[in-house]
Amino acid sequence: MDKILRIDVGADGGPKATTDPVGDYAGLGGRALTSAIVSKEVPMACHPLGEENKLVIAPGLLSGSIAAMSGRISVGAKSPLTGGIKEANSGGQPSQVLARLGYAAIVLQGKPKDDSLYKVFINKNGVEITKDNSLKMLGNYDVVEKMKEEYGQKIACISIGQAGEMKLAASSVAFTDMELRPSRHAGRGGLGAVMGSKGIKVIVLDDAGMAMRQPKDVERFKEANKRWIAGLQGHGVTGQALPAYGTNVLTNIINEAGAYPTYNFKEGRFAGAAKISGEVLAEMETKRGGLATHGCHSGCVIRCSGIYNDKDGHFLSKQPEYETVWAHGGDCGIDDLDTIAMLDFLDDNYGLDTIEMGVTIGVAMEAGLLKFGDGKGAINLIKEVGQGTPLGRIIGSGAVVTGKVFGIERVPVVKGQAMPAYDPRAVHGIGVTYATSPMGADHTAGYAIASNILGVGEKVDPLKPEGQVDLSRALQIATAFIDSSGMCVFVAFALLDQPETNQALIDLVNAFYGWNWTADDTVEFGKRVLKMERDFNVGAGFTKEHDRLPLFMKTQQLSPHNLTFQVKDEELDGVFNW
Amino acid sequence: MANQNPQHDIDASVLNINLTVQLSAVKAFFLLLQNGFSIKCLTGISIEQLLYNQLGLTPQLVEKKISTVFLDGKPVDDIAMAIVQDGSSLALSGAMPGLVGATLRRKSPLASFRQSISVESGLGKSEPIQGHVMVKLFNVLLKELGPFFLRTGIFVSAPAFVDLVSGKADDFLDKCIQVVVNGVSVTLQSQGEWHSLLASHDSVHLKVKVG
Repeated sequence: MDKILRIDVGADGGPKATTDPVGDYAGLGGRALTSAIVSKEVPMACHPLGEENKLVIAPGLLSGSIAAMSGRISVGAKSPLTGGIKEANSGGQPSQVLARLGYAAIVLQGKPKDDSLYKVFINKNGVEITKDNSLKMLGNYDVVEKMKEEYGQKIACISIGQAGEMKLAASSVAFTDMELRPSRHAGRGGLGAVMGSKGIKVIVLDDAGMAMRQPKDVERFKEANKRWIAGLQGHGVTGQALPAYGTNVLTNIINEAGAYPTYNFKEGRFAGAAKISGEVLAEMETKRGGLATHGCHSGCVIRCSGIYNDKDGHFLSKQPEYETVWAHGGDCGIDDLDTIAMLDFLDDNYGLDTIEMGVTIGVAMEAGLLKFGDGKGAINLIKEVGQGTPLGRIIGSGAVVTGKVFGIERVPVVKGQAMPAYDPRAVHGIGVTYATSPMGADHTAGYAIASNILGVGEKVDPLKPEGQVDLSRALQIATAFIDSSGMCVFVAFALLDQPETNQALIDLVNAFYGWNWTADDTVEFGKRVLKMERDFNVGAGFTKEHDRLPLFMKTQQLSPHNLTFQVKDEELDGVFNW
Repeated sequence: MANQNPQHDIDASVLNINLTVQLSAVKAFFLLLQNGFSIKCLTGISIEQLLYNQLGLTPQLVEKKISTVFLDGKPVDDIAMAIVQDGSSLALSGAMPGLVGATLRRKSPLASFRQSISVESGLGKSEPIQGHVMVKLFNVLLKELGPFFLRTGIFVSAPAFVDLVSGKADDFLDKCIQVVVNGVSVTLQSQGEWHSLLASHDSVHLKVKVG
């Protein structure tokens, strides 16, 4: 990973590829690299769909190596949804493949001369860019099928669906999984629209003939990887709950806590929650011949994904994540897993963020466009997005636009991005992260368990009231490091309980790069990333007033605990005082 | 918090059903166990006392497996100081993923994130009395504790039991080896016969063993 591929889509004669050394960006990967390139090279005030914006795709620091769980890939740009800097990351195969091909990043830049669509093929021999207008308005699944016919089965694809081509603000960038299905998405922030604005429909990667990336200290790396895997597999969450039930195991728990946003964030509990729980989902998948335990990329040892078959035993979608089940389920009052899985497939095929779509449909339901619980109506709405009807384009532009068009006050967003599946009125701490993350409302922005909670680095007291601000800061810093490493964020739980597993991760990075980092260094690294992102947003026009939850969170109580969000604005303003 | 428990003192409204089923049929009860069932036990005591003394669970199992506990929908940190009242709802879960999943865990280092909904220690301590507690089992605890509760007996509402029989259809009925209703062995071959049997009752005291 010592080079950066830049594709100038506005070059004379069509898109032109050049390869540069990583230069000043050496030692960065994943989110750190996407945010560094965007903050340094993209004018903060530019239009997200204009010539000056750049789409950056970067594997993590450890991607392409044998390190378990290292297959995450980051996508960055100025976001059409939030107007600020964005990093969205994904699982799937492309991170490992791109890293083995030696690229630290692909940067799409410039503005196309016309509305032609292009495909990019990258292998050990170089880069080939071809005009292919036969791909126009194809869904991700059809695009990948065409690429398989053309390039064979041993490829990995990065693509956009119809939503990205239409430059809709809720569009995603799709990544193929181990079965070569485009089921993994950098979903948040509308980055598919940025790829669409560059006229690139699909990037095909083939790492045939390329070796696994080798660490500087092979023996030390192998030894650390053994400890790392043992730590993950020995932990109750990463070794049992996630493999058995997937992320949707959270449905029952969050619902029981009264923190499960229901009927467009009107209530905190959903009566139909048990019917769409991870426990029921896993049983149904197994019974129908699907899979309840499955990895999304090679090297995954947690295997929290799965395969969801329809009643006749045919593939319908990958196992919907908790966030998807909630967004299309409880938030819309839908308690049917087949309907939710169909919505998940349609989102993946059209290239849409499932959280943004579920929340947007919830807003549309509150507006009376369709009734809560109307599964068929929800499916039809998503189909309208894929078809590009006027209504579909409104829905595909996300919750804010839909709320404005239909005159709805309760629109659960921060910085224009829909809130995920945890209501901050019940769990105030998550609200601190939703409010202050540079990314907008994002449950993964403060996800990783910070080393300072483990007694390393700056200490915080998690039990004092103001601890939630300190904690959110620490979590966001730690997550910025994890997002840069290429590690799946679900490793966080083993890090929380097992200091030796946290150390194994640091040892992996050190052995690979020949560094001597301590936990403190990872904290400083995370701070650097966050500072770049915060600075970009300031330049893009964000102020402290953007670090707020929507007003209804302070005025409308959430049942069953009947609480409002109670963290003071002054406390939120202190999150990034380090 | 409203008590959703059925009234199930031993009276005519309670139907006693003892099932002997094939092992593969046990998971058919898991949705019912997630939605909640009732047990008769001493109340006014701590969750710890309930789990150890009333249910006979081992401290090792409780500490290792029951990582997340909700009392009346509120996350619990100290099970020795949280008091179970007559009519309380007690939900038990393993350790959960997600930031909020980790936050809701007992004695979580992220506990301040959900401070406003956490159970206050020692609140409602009173003289122990016989009562009923609604129990919900989630995720890994379905397999771990589900067979135990089914074997020792649970109370569920008659409509919930009808849903179970209806939802699992013939597949489930085929796996019932023996059905004993109020002490009498009976043969029920269709969902309709089950519905007729349950129609005049409010709740079911259900015991299930694997044959």
